[in-house]
Amino acid sequence: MRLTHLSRFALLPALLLTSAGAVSARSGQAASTTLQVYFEGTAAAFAGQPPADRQIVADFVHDTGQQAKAVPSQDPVKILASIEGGNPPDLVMLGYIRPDWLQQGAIMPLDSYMKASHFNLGKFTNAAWNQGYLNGHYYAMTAEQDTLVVLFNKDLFRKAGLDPNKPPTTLSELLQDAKKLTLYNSDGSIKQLGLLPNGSINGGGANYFQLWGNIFGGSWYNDAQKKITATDPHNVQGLTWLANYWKQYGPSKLDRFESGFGTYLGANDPFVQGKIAMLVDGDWWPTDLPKGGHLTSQNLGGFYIPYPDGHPELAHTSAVFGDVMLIPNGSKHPDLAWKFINWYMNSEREQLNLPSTLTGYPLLKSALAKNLTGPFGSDPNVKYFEHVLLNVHGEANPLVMPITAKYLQNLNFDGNKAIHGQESPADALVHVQQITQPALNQALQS
Amino acid sequence: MARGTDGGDNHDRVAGRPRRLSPATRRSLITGLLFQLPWLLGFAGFLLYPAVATFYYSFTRYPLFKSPRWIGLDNYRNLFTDQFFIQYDSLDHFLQSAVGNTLYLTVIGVPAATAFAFIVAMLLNTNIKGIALWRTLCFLPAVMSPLVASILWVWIFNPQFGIVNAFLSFLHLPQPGWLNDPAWSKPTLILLNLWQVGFSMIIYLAALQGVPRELYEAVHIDGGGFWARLRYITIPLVSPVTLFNLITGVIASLQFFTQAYTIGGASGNPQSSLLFYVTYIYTSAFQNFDMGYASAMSWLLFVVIAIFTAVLLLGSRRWTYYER
Repeated sequence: MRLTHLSRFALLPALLLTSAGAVSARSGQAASTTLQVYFEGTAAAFAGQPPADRQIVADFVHDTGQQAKAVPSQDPVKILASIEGGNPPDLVMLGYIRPDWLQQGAIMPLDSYMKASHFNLGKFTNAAWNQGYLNGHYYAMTAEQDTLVVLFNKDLFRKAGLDPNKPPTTLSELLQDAKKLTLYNSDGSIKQLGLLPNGSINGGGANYFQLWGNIFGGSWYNDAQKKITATDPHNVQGLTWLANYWKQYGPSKLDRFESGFGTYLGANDPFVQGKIAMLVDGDWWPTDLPKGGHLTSQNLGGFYIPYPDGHPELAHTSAVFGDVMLIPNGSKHPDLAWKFINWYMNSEREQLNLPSTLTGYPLLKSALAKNLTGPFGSDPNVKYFEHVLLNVHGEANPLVMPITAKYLQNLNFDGNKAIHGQESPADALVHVQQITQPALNQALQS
Repeated sequence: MARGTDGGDNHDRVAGRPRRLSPATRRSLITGLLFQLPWLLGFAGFLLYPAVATFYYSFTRYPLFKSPRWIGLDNYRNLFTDQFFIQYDSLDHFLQSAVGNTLYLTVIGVPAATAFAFIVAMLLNTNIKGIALWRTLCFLPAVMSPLVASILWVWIFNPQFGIVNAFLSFLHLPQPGWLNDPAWSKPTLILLNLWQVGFSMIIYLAALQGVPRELYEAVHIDGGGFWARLRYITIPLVSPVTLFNLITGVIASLQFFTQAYTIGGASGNPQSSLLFYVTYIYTSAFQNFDMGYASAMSWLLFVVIAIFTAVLLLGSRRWTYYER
């Protein structure tokens, strides 16, 4: 079939029309003044309430009269691609800070908005801003804060002859209790683990290596001098403590025990199933506790991570982190996005309802001193963790510095070698320091 | 004046003068190009431009949100001192690096998968009752999504609760840590690949069915048995398929990603034993935002794949037999 002169060139207009339609659709989107709030996760619904993301945005619409829309379950890599592509969402709420985004210039600084709004940081705990603070600028506000504590199963404590009302306060007491709480199968494999000190699944990763260095009083980065401080002697002590714990129980036994872990926070999670007696993990357990396991709100307890023997000044040390709100560079409605952040941070109603919405805790000091609302407000563990968050002092976790992802990647690599006995903790951290400092120097030059 | 012999359209063809297209030929050419335009645009936009762009980025420091800055060969140079990329001090350390793990999978996994596909094809090249069902069952794992297969494998080979260790325990045999033990993780991945050799197996089966029966009869007449038939007839006549499977297997193993990322994550757990080359490209690009570095790794991979393919093709002249 031969195309006629006309029909042949009809292909060109068809292509043009299609692209014109795409452009006009995009223009149509840009003209809207509805604030698009992208959420990394999808918050579960509790007791007939709508999912938290929709509830929070609905509250904003109700209180301010502004149009807004919650967009849940957004992949951070896609969000980053949209920022790089020049078509970012207006406002993003991430499950935790990605410090590298700040260094890369993907995020708008909030300083001018904070100044114009007379934003009073003194009303909040440090966790409200320290996750998003880099190079003297504020880039993000924390939407809910969390910390790491030792969670424990009160029933297992009683079975082992321990008093659940008197949990350990020093690390040596913790180790003694862990020994009593660890049970073995006839073939020598672990049946019940007394303590999992570095996360619930797959060793927990570099965040826990960072944590244990902090617990011993170490720090990992000197921002004033732009120096990596992995070889801080206190960090070495922390990693050594972890490595000794793994050595005591056997790395291959612990690996094998962890390999059987079910879904984190699911009904077959080993802590829920009563296979782990004490677990260093987050304060969200009371609100996220799944039904159907051996662990319930009655037998779940928590306490501060114990301090190193002879160093009570290090008591109440832990990691502090949480969901963060940030305005991507290129946001089409940055003023409206800041209005949302300002409203949310200062809304005592939203802060008091946090355990039931974002399963976290308030940043407003006045809210932390009050009874929290919602289905979990009266939970005794939630009340206790409110108190913990008022008193805990800790570094932002993950670290906020220019090459956090690379640093933690190196720390994870060598930290795992140390706990598996392939390298001494001191050598591991020297290696981390040697590799990471040049990478930091390069990043600071670019 | 010499005239063309192509149907008379090119009336202007004269010895020594460039050939001018006739109006009819020109119209046909334009029509053809217009029909090809969507593919050409797609090729240019999604293949050619990214390839050229990444080649340029490989010589720059490009942290995604800032402009690329020319640094020459630094990215390529830094690769060879990067512990995640390659380690030289011991075999154990080599097998905790991206290059080491990928080479392990290629050098051991690809020949194993090719041989296994051949053996299965030989077994399926019979006329027993129900052979169609057996062929289907052997092919089925290959159509399973690599992601789903990986998740399934994690639980089948779970050291505590997996069915494999349960069976080994029943037989009072040692129970390895499989995917949770750095010494066993890559062999377990190779087992997963063996389970999914359906496509290679089907191609071998087709080749086996094309071997002339008279050749086997000739060997039989000369007094040769099974091994003689295998060595002198079967293997040489399916050697082109072997070459094809080796080349495609090498290309696939050097770009191994889905199963590795699903099972080992970005860190290649346990203890970086499952950190593969493309996984490291991914973490460099999207976790560490080092686009220039990731681009350098990508181009190096391209060159390595080309070299492996060339070596296989050149070496195949000695052992590949083509029927004339």
